[in-house]
Formats: sequence, structure tokens, C-alpha cells
Amino acid sequence: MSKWYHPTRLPGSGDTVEWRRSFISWPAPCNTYRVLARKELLSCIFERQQLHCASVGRSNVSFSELCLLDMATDPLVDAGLHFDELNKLRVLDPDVSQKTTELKEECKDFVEKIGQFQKIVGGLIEMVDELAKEAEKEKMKAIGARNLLKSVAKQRDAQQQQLQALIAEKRMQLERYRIEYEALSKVEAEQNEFIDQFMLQK
Amino acid sequence: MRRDLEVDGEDHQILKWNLLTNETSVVVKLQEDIYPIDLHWFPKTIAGKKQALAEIFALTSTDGKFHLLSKTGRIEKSVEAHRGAVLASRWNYDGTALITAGEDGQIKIWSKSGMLRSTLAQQGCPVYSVAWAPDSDRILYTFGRQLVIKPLQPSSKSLQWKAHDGIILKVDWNSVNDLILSGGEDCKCKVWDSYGRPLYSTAPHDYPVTSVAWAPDGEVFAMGSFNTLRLCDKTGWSYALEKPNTGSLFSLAWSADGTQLAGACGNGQVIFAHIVEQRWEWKNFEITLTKRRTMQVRNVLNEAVDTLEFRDRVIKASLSHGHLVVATALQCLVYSSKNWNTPLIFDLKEATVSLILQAERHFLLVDGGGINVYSYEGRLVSTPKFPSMRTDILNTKTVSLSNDTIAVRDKTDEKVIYLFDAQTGKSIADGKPLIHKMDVMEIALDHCGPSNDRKIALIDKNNDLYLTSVRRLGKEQSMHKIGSMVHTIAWNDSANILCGIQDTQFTVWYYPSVVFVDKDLLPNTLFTKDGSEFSSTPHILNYTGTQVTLRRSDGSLVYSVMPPYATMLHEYTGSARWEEALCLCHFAKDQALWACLAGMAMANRELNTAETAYAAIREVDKVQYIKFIKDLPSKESSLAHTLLFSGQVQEAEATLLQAGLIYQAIQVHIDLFNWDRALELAVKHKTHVDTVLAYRQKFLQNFRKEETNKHFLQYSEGVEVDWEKIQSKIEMELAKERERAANSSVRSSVASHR
Repeated sequence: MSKWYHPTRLPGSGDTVEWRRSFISWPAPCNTYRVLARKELLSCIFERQQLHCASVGRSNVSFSELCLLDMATDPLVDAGLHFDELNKLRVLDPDVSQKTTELKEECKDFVEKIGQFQKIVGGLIEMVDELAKEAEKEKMKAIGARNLLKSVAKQRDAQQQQLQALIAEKRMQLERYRIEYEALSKVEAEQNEFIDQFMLQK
Repeated sequence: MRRDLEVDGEDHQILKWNLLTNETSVVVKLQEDIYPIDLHWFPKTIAGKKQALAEIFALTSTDGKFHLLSKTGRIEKSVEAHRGAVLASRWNYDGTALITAGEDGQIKIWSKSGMLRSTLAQQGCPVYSVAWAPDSDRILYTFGRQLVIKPLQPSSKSLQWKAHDGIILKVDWNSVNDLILSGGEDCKCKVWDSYGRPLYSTAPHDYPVTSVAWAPDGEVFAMGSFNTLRLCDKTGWSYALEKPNTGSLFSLAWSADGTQLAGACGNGQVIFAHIVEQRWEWKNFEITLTKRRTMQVRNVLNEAVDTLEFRDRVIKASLSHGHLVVATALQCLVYSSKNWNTPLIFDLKEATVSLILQAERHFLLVDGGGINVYSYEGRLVSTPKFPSMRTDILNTKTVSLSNDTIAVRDKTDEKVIYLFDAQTGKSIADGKPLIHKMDVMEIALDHCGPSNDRKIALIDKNNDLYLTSVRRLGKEQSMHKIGSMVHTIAWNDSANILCGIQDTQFTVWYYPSVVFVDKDLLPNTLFTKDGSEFSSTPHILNYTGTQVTLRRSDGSLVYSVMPPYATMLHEYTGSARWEEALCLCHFAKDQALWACLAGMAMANRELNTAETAYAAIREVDKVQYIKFIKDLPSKESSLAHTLLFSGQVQEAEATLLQAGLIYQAIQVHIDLFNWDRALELAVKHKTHVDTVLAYRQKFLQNFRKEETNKHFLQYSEGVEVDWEKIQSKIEMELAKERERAANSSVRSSVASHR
């Protein structure tokens, strides 16, 4: 927004008047001459107005009434020119200007709030992201653990199989030893029998 | 000796391990496009003679080439051999040919320099493995689920049989025991003989059998599968099982001395295995190889334990006859069972001892260089040699040692057995080897008695057991069959008693030499026992004292004890204590023992004892004959009749003729109805022709036959048969003999008086 423009309410313009004019299309910056010219012009208009009032029978016409009159009729208003309280010529309706300022303030507030909101939301998102990451990590961990568990079962199977094979091997060895032991026991029995026989015969 | 082992891999490297020092070195880094598959060293036995050619090896790769590399890793030659990968390559045993097999199903033979000789076979599926026969004139290869033995001669028929239920992945053929080993995807490992007959099949494993390998001495084999390494005896039973975490074992290789094993693992490692826990037993000693270089000796009688430490690996050991002989990689150590502290040590020329045999007086070492006989004092006694000797294939079945004799069966002609004097290393019987009519599978010399009575027992291809004398002294060799369906035999260490497994019977030949004296007695001298307790095809390990040790086909040791009488009887008769021998037989009341005594007495011409013994076994005819021999007037004729008793007609005749007893010789032939020879003798000596003719006539009359023999017809024309005359002539001859005998006995008694 341009600095030079201070939208002020025109004196006596009242609350009823709505001046709808977009402040987007601000006129080019005025110079002093133009303002002076405008003042001249208005005073001139005022004088004429006085005359006019006299002619219609009304003695006391206020400036604001004049402005109203002027609005309805004022070519200045038609031309999009206004005066503020300081009687400075303005392009924008001071009312509008004020509202705009309010709006601007509100907007500023809003932006601030939005900013704050964004910050909060950003923090939240970050936090959630982090949480998600954590969750993902944990999930992976869980999957890994589950797989590990599954493979452990498999591993155990394999191990069991291996151990079983080794056991079978040992069992075979044991069987061999058992047979050997039996054979030796038999030999012992035979020898004892032989000794007994021998003793008896002697 | 080759102490190096090389292994290749996917990383294009060939590594070498020195088995003595366990050092590893990279031989060569191959080019990136060569993926080696298989590797085989040039055979060592031949290489020893030609050093320049010695150190090369063949390497096959996935791009269808094989490469010949030198020891240093330089590629000497690369040959485009197959389409697709070359899966296997093997040198033959004399190093003259290389065989390669490829994914394209072709088998090609190459010369040593890498020139194609021929394409031996072509088939529709990849050949995963090949192996040479021990004689290098046949090859064995895989054909899907089948095994094929193909002779190199194109005209000969090949042998093909279905061996497995899955694709066969690996085969091996041992040169010592001539057995085939195969492993396949049906998770089984099988042993076959060279005729394709199944000998053993393992129970299915959990995973396919990816590799098999015979130990060089053919006693054990190794088998690899996924996370599995198994060591088995050649008869199939398993010594040990290992479950290393290695993945599949793709390839296995033994070190030349058969003590170490290397395997290429699926996870890129190389596994090394050593054989430990070998055990030897003799009488009251029990020796265990606890570590590679440590032995533990346990005396069972007093529980004394000795530990023997060696400088390097123990390769072979033998415990027998009161001595322990240990061959390590560099030395030979001889311990006496009386003293385990101070061994006798001598260095070995050739490092790889493949066989140790012991006798009472000396022992025999077989290594790459030859057969050496050493005394227990460490002195080299002799080194027998014969042409075409290949020492790497000798085993306990083909070599036998006794105190004075060494017997070796030839490999090129399995009918031939070379016999050497153990003291001099010279060949017995003027270098003429013993030749049997069949291929000989196993030989065994007896250990006891004088060296002139040395006997050799042999089992031939038909599983018949023969006995023959080693020192024939110019006589014709006489092989006596003493058993059939015999699988395994062993001589006793203290007496000439033979034991064996005959069909399903466990048989002991108490006195096998009885066949040389009285063949009919042989069945009586046997001791048989039901062998079913030993299961099928047991193997006799030894026969020490009265105890026989057998190994059943499932690997368990069983023992059998014989009565001690036979050994005692041998002892008595060996020292001519006949009275005691008789006492023993009376005491034991065993027919077999009496039969043995009868045989022994006859062999020693101890007629009185023989008479008693024959009477005890109720051989009346023989008792009578012995009585007749005893009554004979002269020594010569009694000797002749003793010879005749054991069926040696020619010797008997020679004895009689030498003593001038022509009539007696003729009479012997007449009694044997040996008419032609009787007439021949009579005509030759111009006496008793009429006697022969008279007896012939009588014989023909008794049998109501006509004379058809030309000689008799010819001589009967001019001769008059007069029985009275003949009788008187015979009387005269007998009187003459009696007279002579009396004279000689008087002479000898006079001589003894003086």
C-alpha cells in the first residue's frame, strides 16, 4: 500500500454512505498542485452549492450535506475523488480506506495466526513424521524379529535334523559296541566253561 | 610325494596349501573370463621318473576349454574342448591320456600335450563325472541316472546299468580295491564292484550327495553332502559323521598318504579333515591315535598308560608280534611292547608309506619307491622287485609276509603270484612265479614251521580256497583245493591253523597241510561253527592265539574263541613229542584233533602214532595199510608206501626204482590198476612182464572183459602165463629185499656201535 495515502473519513460524510471503489486501482500519486486544484475546485463547488441552496430555500447546508449532495451529484465523487478530514484530496473513499486498514490489520492478524498455526502444524507434522519413522522402524524390527523367529524355528529344525543324524550315528556306534560287548561276554562265558570243564577233568 | 593341495574357485584364483606346514599361497590369479570347475594333477607315480613333465595339472572351465598349467601357475596350453562347460577332467594312471567330459554330453580323450585323440562317447545329457579304471583301459562316466563303463577299444562292449533314482553327480573308482563309488541326487551313496554289482547303498541322506572320494589306499571313502561330511569303510558302514556349517561340499580330495581330506564348500571355504582315533589292538595292548601326532598306549593288564609323541603326522601304523611300527611323514619308528620309551628311529626315503606288514622277525614297508623289508633293529634286510611292479596298489590282500617268504600278487596278470625270499629279496624257484588257473583275489602265507614247509593259501575269483607249497624244489606245483565259497581267511600267528568264512559257516582248518598227506582226512580236520551270528560277509581281521577277531559288515567287531587244543597239538608234533600229542587227543576226545594227529603223524612218518590216530577216527582201511607198511621189510618200500598213502604215486615209484626194487614198483602199479605203466616198467627193466600179464588176465577174467589194450595184446603173444612160476619169482624178490634190509640194518647198527 502506498504511503502517501491516508484514507480518512471525509467530514460529515456519515456512516450511511458506502463508497464502493476498489482500492486496487489507485490513481497515480498526486502532487500538491493537484491537491490544491482539487481544493479550489471543491470550494468553488461549495460556493455554487451555497447559491443553489439559497435558490431552493434552504439556508443552512452543511458541508457533509453538501458532500451528500455532492455525492449524488458531485462530479468529484463521480470522478472518484474524495476529501479526508484534513481536507486533503483523496482518491479513495476514507470509509473504505479505514475498512481497508482494518482489513489489513485483520489480515495481518490472520497471517500471523496462520503463521502460528503453520508453525504448530509444522511441529505436529514433524512430530508425527518422527513417530511414523519410529513406527516404521519398529515395524521393520518386528518383521525382522518375526522372520528371525520363523528362521529360528527353521534353524532349530535344521539343527534338530543335524543332531538327529549325529544321534543316529552314535546309536549305530553304540549298537556296534553292544554287539562287540555281547561277543566278548560270550567269549568270557565260553572261557569260563572251558576252565570249569578243565578243572573237573583234571 | 605330493604334499600340496590346490583348490580353485569362482574368484578366479587357485590356492595352494602345503599340508606339512599348513601354509597357504596363491598359485595363480586367472583371467576374469575363466571360471574354473575342476582340477586334476598329473599322476605322481609316473611323474617321478620324468621330472620335467611332473608338475602340471589340468584345469577345466565354464567356457568349454581346458588348460594345462604348470606348478607355478603359468598356463602352458588352453584347448577348446567342449560346447558349454567342461565338467570334469582326469589323467589316467600312467599319465598318457587326459579325459574330459562336458555339458554337451561328449567325452573326449586328449594326449598329454593336449591333442585330441578321440571322442569316446556322445550322449544327450551332460556328463557330470568321469573316472579311470585301475588298468587305465576303461572309463566310468555318468549318464543321467545310469553309470557306464566304456572300454577304450572301440570294438569292446560297454557296460551300462541304472545306478540311482536321481541324477548321478559324482563317481570315483579306486585303483587298489577296484571298487566304484557313486553319489547322486537321490541322496544315496553306493558302492559297486567293477562288474556293476551293487555291494552297498547308504540309507538316503537329507540332501543330495554332491561329492565322493576314495582314500588312496581304498580302505575308506569320504562322502560330502549339504552340511555333511561322512567317513565310511569300503564295506559301507560309517566311521564318522560331521555336520560342519559349510553348505554343500562340491568336491573332496584326499592327500596322497590318505590321512587328510580337503573339501570345497558351498560357502567358499575349504574344509580340512584329519583322520584320528584309529585303534590297534594286540594281545593286552590297545593303542589309539588320539591326535595327529600323539598315540596313547594302554596296557589292559595293569592299566598302565603311555603316551607317544611324534614329530610329524602319523601316516600308518601296525601293531603285531610284540612290536609297534609307526610310519610318520618323514620317519619310521619301531617300538617294542616291552619298552615304550625308546623307539628305534630311521628316516624314510619315500615319505608316503602305504602299507606295513609285520612278521615275527621283520616287517615290510610299501612306499612309492618299492617294497622294503626291515628287521626290528632297523636294518634294511631286502628289497624284492619284479617287473611291472606298481607299489601304489598293493594292499593286505595282495601282499603277504612270513618270516622267510614274501608273496606278491601281480596286478597286470592277476593269476600270477611272485614269491621272494625275505632275507635276500631274491625270487624263489628260479624266478618262476606261481601261476594259478584263475585270477587270485587274496593270498596268505602261513607263519610257522620250517621255511621248506612254507604254504600259501589263496582265494581265487570263484571264491575257491587253494593251498600250495611255496618251495616246490623242482617238483610240479600241486594246488589243492581245500574250500569253496570262501570270502576271507587268516592264518593263526602261532600255529599253522587257518580260519575262514566258508559260505555262511565259520570254518577252521586245524591242519590244512593234511591235503599233502591224506586228502580224505581234510573234512575231518575241520572245525565249523554257524557263522550267522557274524551276519553276512564278515571280514577276519586277525587270528591271534585262540581268538579270532572279525568285523561284521555293519562295522562291529565280534570275537570267537577256538579250543586251544589244536595249537597245542601243533606245538607237540612240531617238536616230535608224539606221546604227549596222543595224551592230548585222549584228553580232548575230539575227532577233528585225532584226524589232525593222524595227518601230522603220517606227514612225519610216525606210523605208530598214525595207527592209533586212524584207529580213533575209525579209518579201518588206513589202519590196515599202516600195519602193512610197518610190516614191510625195507625202509625204502615203507617210504614208498607212505608216499603212496598220500597219493604221490610218482614219488613212490621213483623211490622204489632208486632203491632197485623194480618188482615192488611194478606191483604198486598193478595194485593201482595202472596197467600201462606197470607193463612199461616191466618191459623197460626186462623183468616180470609175465607177472603183469598174469595179473592183467586175472583182472579181465574177474570183470569178464576182453583184452583191448594194444600193448598187452602185443606182449601177451610171446609170453606164457604160469602162476606157479610167477609166485616163486615174487617170493624170491621179497626174500631178496628182506635180506638186503637185514644187511643194511646190521650195517647201520654196527656203524652206530662203532
